[in-house]
Order: sequence, then structure tokens, then C-alpha cells
Amino acid sequence: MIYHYIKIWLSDSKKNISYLSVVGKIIEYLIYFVILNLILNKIYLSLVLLYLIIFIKYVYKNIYILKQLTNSNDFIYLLLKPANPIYRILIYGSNPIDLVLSALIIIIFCASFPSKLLLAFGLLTILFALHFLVLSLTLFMNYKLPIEKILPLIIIVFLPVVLNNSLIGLTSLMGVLSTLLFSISLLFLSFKLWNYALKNFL
Amino acid sequence: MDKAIIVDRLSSKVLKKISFTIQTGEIVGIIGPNEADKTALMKILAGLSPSTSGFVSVLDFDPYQRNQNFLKQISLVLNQKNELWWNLPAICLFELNKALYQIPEREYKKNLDQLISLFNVSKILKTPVNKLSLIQRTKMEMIASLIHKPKVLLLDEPLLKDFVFDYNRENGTTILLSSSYIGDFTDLLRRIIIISEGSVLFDGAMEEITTKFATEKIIKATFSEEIDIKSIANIGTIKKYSFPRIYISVPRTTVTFAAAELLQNHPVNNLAIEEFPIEEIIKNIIK
Repeated sequence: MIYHYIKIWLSDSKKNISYLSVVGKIIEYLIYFVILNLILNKIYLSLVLLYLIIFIKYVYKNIYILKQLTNSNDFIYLLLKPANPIYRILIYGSNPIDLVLSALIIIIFCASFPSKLLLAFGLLTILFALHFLVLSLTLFMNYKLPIEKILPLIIIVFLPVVLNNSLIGLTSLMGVLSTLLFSISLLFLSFKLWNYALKNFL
Repeated sequence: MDKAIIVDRLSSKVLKKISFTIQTGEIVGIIGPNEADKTALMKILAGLSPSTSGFVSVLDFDPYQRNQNFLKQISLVLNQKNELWWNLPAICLFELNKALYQIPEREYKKNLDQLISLFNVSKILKTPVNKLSLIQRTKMEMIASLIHKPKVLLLDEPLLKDFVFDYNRENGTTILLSSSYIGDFTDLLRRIIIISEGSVLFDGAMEEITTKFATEKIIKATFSEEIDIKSIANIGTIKKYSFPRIYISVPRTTVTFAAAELLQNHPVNNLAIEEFPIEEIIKNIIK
């Protein structure tokens, strides 16, 4: 199954790759990283923020694509294919450069702070759960909700909590466990909402 | 023969208790004046919309469950919609579909070769979609929909129809195609289903429409000299007269007597008895 989805990703993401886009992306992220490092003067925090920038851009791109697909009613083509529609949406917005860079940042972070591995996992799960939640709302509201205006509010509320917990202070066992429990519950809820939105889309 | 599609007392927002079955390998035309009825039916059969009551089965699946094994065996092509990527050659989409439908390499090549020859598109396979004409894009769209060799093909108001006979003969695919215009079907199909205002008005062979609904026939005649039109008014209803040609509508049961009387008492050069055009009969049914 995973191999099947990787093959789909490779075929689908071909359209997002070009020589210019690769060079452009590298320059863009280098500039972000240099600026962040100049301001914060901490490499690991700059890397985490760079990751969040990439992720938020990715979320926005997916919302935009999903809205476009629902507006034009082309979303039905995703429903007609034998692959989970949410995976197709994630592919549509994905760029291989973003993916490679994100993976690199995660590896560097985990290697530098092995004690915070579980918390990093919790953080990632929360981010993805939020992503699915936002996509579900976009689909559920069927383009009536200005989700791109609400998303920054969600990020502003959740991001400091997540950053505070996982990066700055919280390292107790209870803290780690509660973060994990919260993130997995949120992910479960967001999947439920996505399935409900899918049933009620048409 | 197995039943590929079973629809029993199906109702939805626009459909009212419609029933029909379609055998495996059959080609059936759905016609009707309202596009919404036909599209709603197609979407229910493809699993995109739910029904409010009744029973639907496509290849023994409940379509609305959108089971992956079901989706691998069907294809829906909607008019005015396409999934081609504008800046890339259509072959990229075929490759994606190969991955999505998990088609083995050898089978993919075989299917693609068959479709390339059926639609005659070998020279434009690597041309970006935005440089193709509308008909070329439609052909590519059709190939993308057929690359996984679906067992059931649902075509909603398709621009291309002529290929369905050849495709059905070669692959045994069950094909359901809808149109608002009966002229699209007269040479293609044996069976049609007429849907109007959400209900099935007719379901049967094309020839049955004329015998069942056309109570009259048309006598076409040409005269050698001008006649007094009143003298033939008792034969039937004169539809059109423009010397030398006349068209008379006559009840089916008395058509031979009417033709004999016309030949005996009037200067007739040529005479032919014809059925009413099927388009006209269907227009009357729908009215």
C-alpha cells in the first residue's frame, strides 16, 4: 500500500518539478534561514521556524487547491479514483524540495535533541491534525468559509502553546504524555471530520 | 448473462422510483430533455451522490460506499469536465492513472496501444494539452478514463460516441451513455431508456419505440401533374404539399388502403411508406 502511494506521489509530483523551481526554492529558504538566524541567533530555533514556514505555506497551498477543486467541481475526479482523496490533496500541494528540506530539518532536530523525540513527534502530529482539520472545514463549508482568513488565528493560538511545550520548558513525563495524547486525539478527530465532510460534500 | 447494473425503485432529489437492469456487455442510451436527471443518475451509479431510497448495485457493489475495488472497475466521463493537466502532455496523466489503478506495466502498454490506435492520437501523445484542439483533448480525456479497462463505462453527454461500438466489441465493457438528442443514438444503440421529469417513460429496443408509440406512418409521394389538394384530404392528414411532392400522415392500420387509393385515383410517379422520424416520436412521448 505504501509503495502504491509512493508511486502515485512520484507520478503526480512530476508536474511540480522544474529546474527553475528547484533553484528558486533553495534560494528562498536560504534567505529565510539566514534572516531567522540573524534575528534569533539560535540555529535549532531557526530551523524549527523554517520548518513551520514551509509547513504553513504547504497548508495554504493545499487549502487554495482544495477550494479551487471544489469551486470548479473537479473534486469529484478525486473521489472517483481508487486512492484516498486527502492523500491526493496532500500530493497536489506537495513540492519535493519542501519535502526533502522538511525531512532534513526533522532529522537534524531529532539528532540534536534526542530527549525531545517524543515531543517532536507530538508537535508534528498536532500540525498535521490541524492541517486535516482545516482541510475538512474547507470541504465541509464547501467554499463558503474564508478559511484562509481563519487559519492565521488558529496558528497564532496553537503555535505558542506547542512551541512552549515542546521546545522551551516542558520535559516532564506527564507533559510529554499529555502532549502525545492531545495530538493523537486531535488527529483522530480531524480524520473523523474529514470523512464526515466527504460524505456531505456532494 | 450477468447483471452489471441493477436499479430498483431508486429515488433521489430529482429521480422518482426508477427501475432498470443492464446486462454485462450491454450498451444502453439514456435520453431525456433534462440534463439534471441524467447527470444525477450517472453520479449515483458512480458513487458520487447518495440515493434517498431504493436499491442500486453496480458490479455487485453499493456505489456510494466508493469501495476501492469498485472504483478500479468503473469510469465516469462528464461532459464539459476534464482532468487533464493544462501545461503537460496527456501521457503524464495516463502515467498517474497507471499508478492510481495499479496497472501492471505490460497491461498498461497493451491498453495504451489499443486506445492510441482506436483514437488515432499517436502523434500528439507528447504534445502539451494546451496546444491540443477540443476534439484532441476529448480523445485524451477518454483515453485517461479507459486506460484501466473499466468494466462499466458511464458517459454523460459525451462529445465522442462513435468509438463505443468498437470498444464494447473488443472489451465487452458495459456502457451507459446519456444524451439529450436522440439523433446521437439512432445508429449506435439497440436499447434506450427515456427519462423525463425523474421517471422512466420507456425502456426497450429502439424499434419498439416506433411500434409502441407511433400510431401513424408517413406516405411520401410525387405527382406527375398538379392536383386539387381537397381530393386527397380523406386519405389522411396532409403534413406538407409542395408540387410535385406530398407528405401524408396515415393511421398505421389503414396505410396500405390509403396507398392503394392514392395510386389508383391520382397521377402518382413515386410512392414510399415510411416510419415517423424517431426524434419526433420521442418528442411526443416526452411532451
